[in-house]
Amino acid sequence: MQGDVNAANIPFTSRVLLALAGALLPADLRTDWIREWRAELWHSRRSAVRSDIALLNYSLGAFADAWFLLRHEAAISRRLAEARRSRSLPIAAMAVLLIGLSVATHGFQGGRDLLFGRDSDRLFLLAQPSPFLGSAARVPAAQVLAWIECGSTVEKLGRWAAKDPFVCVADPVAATLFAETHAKARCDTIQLAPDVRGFSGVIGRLKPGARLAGAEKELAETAVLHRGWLVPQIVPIGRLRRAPLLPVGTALLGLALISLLPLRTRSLESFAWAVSRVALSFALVVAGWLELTAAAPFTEQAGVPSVWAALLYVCPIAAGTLLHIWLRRDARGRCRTCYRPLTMPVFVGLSGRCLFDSGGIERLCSARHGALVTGSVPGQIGTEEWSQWPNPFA
Amino acid sequence: MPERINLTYTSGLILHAIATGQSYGFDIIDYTGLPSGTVYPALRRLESAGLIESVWDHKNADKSGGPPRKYYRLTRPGRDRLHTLRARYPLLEKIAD
Repeated sequence: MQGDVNAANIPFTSRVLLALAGALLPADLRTDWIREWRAELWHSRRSAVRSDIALLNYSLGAFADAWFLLRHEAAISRRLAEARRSRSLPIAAMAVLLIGLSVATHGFQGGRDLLFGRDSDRLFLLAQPSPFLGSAARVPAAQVLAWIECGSTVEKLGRWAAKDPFVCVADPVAATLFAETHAKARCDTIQLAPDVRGFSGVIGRLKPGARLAGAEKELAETAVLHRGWLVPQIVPIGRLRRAPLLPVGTALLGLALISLLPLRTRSLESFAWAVSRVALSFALVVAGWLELTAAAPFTEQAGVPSVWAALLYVCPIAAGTLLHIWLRRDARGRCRTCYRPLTMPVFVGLSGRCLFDSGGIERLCSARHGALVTGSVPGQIGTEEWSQWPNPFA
Repeated sequence: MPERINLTYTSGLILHAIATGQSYGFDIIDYTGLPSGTVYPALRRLESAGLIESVWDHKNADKSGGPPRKYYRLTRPGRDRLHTLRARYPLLEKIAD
């Protein structure tokens, strides 16, 4: 009861911050810790010397305090050290991240649509940049409408005009096409456009059995094209949306494969651990990138806009490269038999022979599988020697 | 085994604050002008090094009707350390008591 009365005198925000910071601590430390902080806040509030904002400011320091105690708690430090030596924890963490991403994206819905949603291959876009400074649309709008109404290759889906004539957002377009009724509310970039001046393009769907070349030919026969536009360009939406997949996907696959090369494992167990790490870490990068690609806007003619190109082309490759470097360095410092991190580094070599032999650093497997001697220069490649120890229980 | 700590100006300031009678955490924060995220970890470190000790103040709590506060006081090694720190950082002496 006394505790409740005391708590009520403390500002709500400070109480929340204390609870959050206290959650970092183990139960045996938390009781005294939270008692001290609450007492300080209670007396400060009662004496009315400090404002609520000042108390909030003071309460923020509770995180630093809790973190300090956590780091210096012997049992926790030991657990953190064990976690660093663990083989399964990073894999479990990556699996949890993947599951979390899957839940957040409804089972990688965007990525699956992108990869397997073949319907978007039949959806196409007839680029019709808005007339500018006396120029005309590529194909006269009325003739496009006539083609859609009377053509044998396409189905009518609606005209659209974008506020920005060169960019439309993939998701609202797809949503509009697949489920028009409930998607219109959140379709803020694309508008159905009865106004001819705002008419900047057509989204259509090929009739079953019709081909893109046939549709282009039919449109060319139906419409009187403006000079310079001998063949109307119809672009499948699937091609626009999937444009980054081939180059970036190939690069990531290549990086994943070359990450497997420096594993140097000597047992099936070790190989399985190593492959799991590589596969899961690259799966995380690929899953995130696919979801981002599925949500990206695209332009009428050139795929994603240049602002997004960094995210969809450069970032995944950079992430894959960094991952490869980390996996390569990590694999070098692990036991070739059980894949545990090697410990207890000691310098080996003779100081008198340092001119001829620079010596090296020896690390041991904590499960007594062997020792690895590497060059004394960090990151030196090609100077490592693994000594397998005989199994004492064999 | 007590933790060894560096003779920093911050630890000197906090020891000086305690020596001048600022014995509660928030009072030390006000006196030194350091953020709470610096003062409390420093207090923990000084306590584990044996330079200060903390006691629950039940007597004043009964008077005020509030929860007992934890107050900090210097130990003998703490006073010795403060003496060294004052020699190293003469500005500490000039801070108003």
